[in-house]
Amino acid sequence: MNTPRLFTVTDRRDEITATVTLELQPLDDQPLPVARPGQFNMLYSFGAGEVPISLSGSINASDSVRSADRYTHTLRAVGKTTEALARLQVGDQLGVRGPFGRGWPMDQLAGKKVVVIAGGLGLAPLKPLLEALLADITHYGHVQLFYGGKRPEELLYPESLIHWSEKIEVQLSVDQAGPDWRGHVGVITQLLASAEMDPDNTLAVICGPEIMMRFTIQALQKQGLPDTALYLSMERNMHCAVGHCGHCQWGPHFICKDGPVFCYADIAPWFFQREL
Amino acid sequence: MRAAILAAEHLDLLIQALRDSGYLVIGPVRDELAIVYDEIRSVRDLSQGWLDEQEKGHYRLLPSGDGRYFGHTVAANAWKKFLNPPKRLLWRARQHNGQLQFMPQSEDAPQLAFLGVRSCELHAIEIQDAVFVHDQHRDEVYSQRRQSLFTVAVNCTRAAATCFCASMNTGPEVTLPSDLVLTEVLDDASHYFLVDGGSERGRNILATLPLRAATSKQQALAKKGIESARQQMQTGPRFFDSAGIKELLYRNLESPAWDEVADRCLSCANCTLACPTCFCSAVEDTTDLTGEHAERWQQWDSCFNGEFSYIHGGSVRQTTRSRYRQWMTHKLASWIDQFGHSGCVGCGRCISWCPVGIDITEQLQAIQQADKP
Amino acid sequence: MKTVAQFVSEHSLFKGMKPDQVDFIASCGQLRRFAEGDYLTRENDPADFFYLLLEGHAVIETHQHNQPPVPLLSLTDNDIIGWSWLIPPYRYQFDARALSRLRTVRLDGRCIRAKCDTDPALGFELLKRLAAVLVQRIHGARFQLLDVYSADPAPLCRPGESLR
Repeated sequence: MNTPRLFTVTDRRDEITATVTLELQPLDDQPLPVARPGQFNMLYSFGAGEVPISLSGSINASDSVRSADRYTHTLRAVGKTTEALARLQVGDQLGVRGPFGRGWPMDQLAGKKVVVIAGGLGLAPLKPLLEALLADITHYGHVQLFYGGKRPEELLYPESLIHWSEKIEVQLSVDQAGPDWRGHVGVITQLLASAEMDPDNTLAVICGPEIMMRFTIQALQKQGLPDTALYLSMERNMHCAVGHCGHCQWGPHFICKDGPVFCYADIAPWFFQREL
Repeated sequence: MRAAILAAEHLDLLIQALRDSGYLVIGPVRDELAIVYDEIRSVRDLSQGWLDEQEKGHYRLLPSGDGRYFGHTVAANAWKKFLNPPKRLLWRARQHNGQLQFMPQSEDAPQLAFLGVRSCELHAIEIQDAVFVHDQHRDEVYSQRRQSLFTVAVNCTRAAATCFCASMNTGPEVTLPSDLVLTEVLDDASHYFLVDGGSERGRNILATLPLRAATSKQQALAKKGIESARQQMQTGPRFFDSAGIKELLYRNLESPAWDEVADRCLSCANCTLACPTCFCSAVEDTTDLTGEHAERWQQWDSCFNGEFSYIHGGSVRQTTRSRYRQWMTHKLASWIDQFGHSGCVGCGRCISWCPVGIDITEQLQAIQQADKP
Repeated sequence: MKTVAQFVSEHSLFKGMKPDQVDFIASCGQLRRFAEGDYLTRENDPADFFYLLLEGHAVIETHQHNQPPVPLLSLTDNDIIGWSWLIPPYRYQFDARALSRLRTVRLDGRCIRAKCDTDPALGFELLKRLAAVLVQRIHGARFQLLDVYSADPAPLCRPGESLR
């Protein structure tokens, strides 16, 4: 397992509750490996530990292209390591290993209608994908975003959502809302059930809590999308990120090197298996 | 080169030749009540004259009554600890005045020679090579140790009751490349090794030894010894057809057999530690009391540990049933999808060292039974 | 100009139903428009009608003392509003309010109930279709109840260090 590379925080942004976005730059002058949307890095906070965190898009909604010399990560403080990472300020140093894993199938999205479905913080790994699609929208054609969250104020990247909704169809759904909320109250599967889709020419990319992805897949199958058209990002315990530690095994798959993004057709036999 | 004969009294010359070539020689030694692999300085360190008696949850050493060096079968521990140390420091870090610094831990890989590697164990090493050397990412410590490794394989002429390499097609005869291959023969008063050189450096070592050409009778006796080991397994209760195991296990993830074994399994992880192919590890990040120094350690882990599958909200595999199923299904089935071959070599260690006597071959048969319509 | 029967036959609830059944149901209905803010149903009012939503946005909501209404479920084209007409005591359980201009077919539940009592084939067909909507609503309500997004870590972030 490689030693982490030394990075510093160049920008930081508080997002929703306990959630921050960090922009990171290496402190050496070596080139930065290209991170493809859907890949992840291992972030090490001194003395606290290391966690896998997906690459997210640019830190400012107005940036149309990610800077090639930075990595951006959105993370939520839910444990010792993520709490330490969330406390990092601009100028603080940390270790980074990566990028690792197979990302979203960008090549296969070209020329297709793309349905992007995110739940909760699952929007973060999809943000670089959305930015890539929007930067080259003529190449990708029709893009829809369905995004579900608990409450309106718990939806990630509100400025980006507004920005995106000027270019693509954005449908937001929350479990609960106050009377001022003009978006959908209910569940994302309901939006998917009533959405107009072209099942023969659409690819769906999905990221969110596993239970939400299960329901989403069923809703998309009802819409007639074949299993080969569904892509989702999986999560399991991970220590090494390079297929050696064994923790992220899921049936025959290693989430770290075979995923985290999988085509549903390849994992369908395992997806509904419990305690796998 | 044709097979040659090394007289038993000259075995030490082989050990010394390896040592003189700079190898740290590891071989079977008797440590209290078991044979284990450890450093060998001379032939006197070898566990000559001892036999292992192995059964479910049972391991005993018995005097063999003869002077064989390799009359026993596989040692209690696997070779894997020498190539992939059970605990190792990966790197150190220092943070002072906000400045963070990483210091990678490098090692001068010891030049190892394994003396007495059995066919199943050569397969086990090859299986770990697939994980640590030939996959997308290389483990440098393992790769360096592996690259300089010299193997002296030994054909088994006896099988323990727990051995089932004949079922897994991994033995008892050495078929994988090895620098040297020995077959021990004790025929009336004559005690010798049939020796084969499998590599340039193996033949270079052989060139320093007093060898004589093997007669066809000597070769036939060596062959006979291997065949008797094969016979022992083929007529024993642990002989089965390993074809189609992957499909069998994949379609039986909900077999009642898992519930039965889960009632007995202690989730103690002995089987994974004894297994020569289990490769899982965990990392631990530590800091000292000053808070300025941190270290990352890697150590063997087991899929039987509760926190092994921990993600936010709890472990994915909460029950012993799911952990045993993960271990056995990985070993015998999903390993094939991952690396193109089974993860089990039939060495039987998981059977002997299970404190409650769970037998993977019995479990397989239980699933086969329950699978029948 | 489309007839009520056309609107009924094209609505997802009745799609594929036999023409004579559609005609009967349409005979119990009439087109109704609502302005933004109008209530289609009020809690505890007699539930004589239900609505096929043709176009626009509506919300099912409830209220607490002196508090703004709590939205429970958003509805739009091809959804239906109201099933209290089917089950005694035939009173609405929630408010349904238009969030935009709405076009609907208002169906008279009393008329359909009476017909279904004498025409079990129609009754069963209608119940199967309503049950599918109900199942979808229950599934959604359970999904909401699960609160799957609350404090979920960013996917792939493994905060298990407290155990290690």
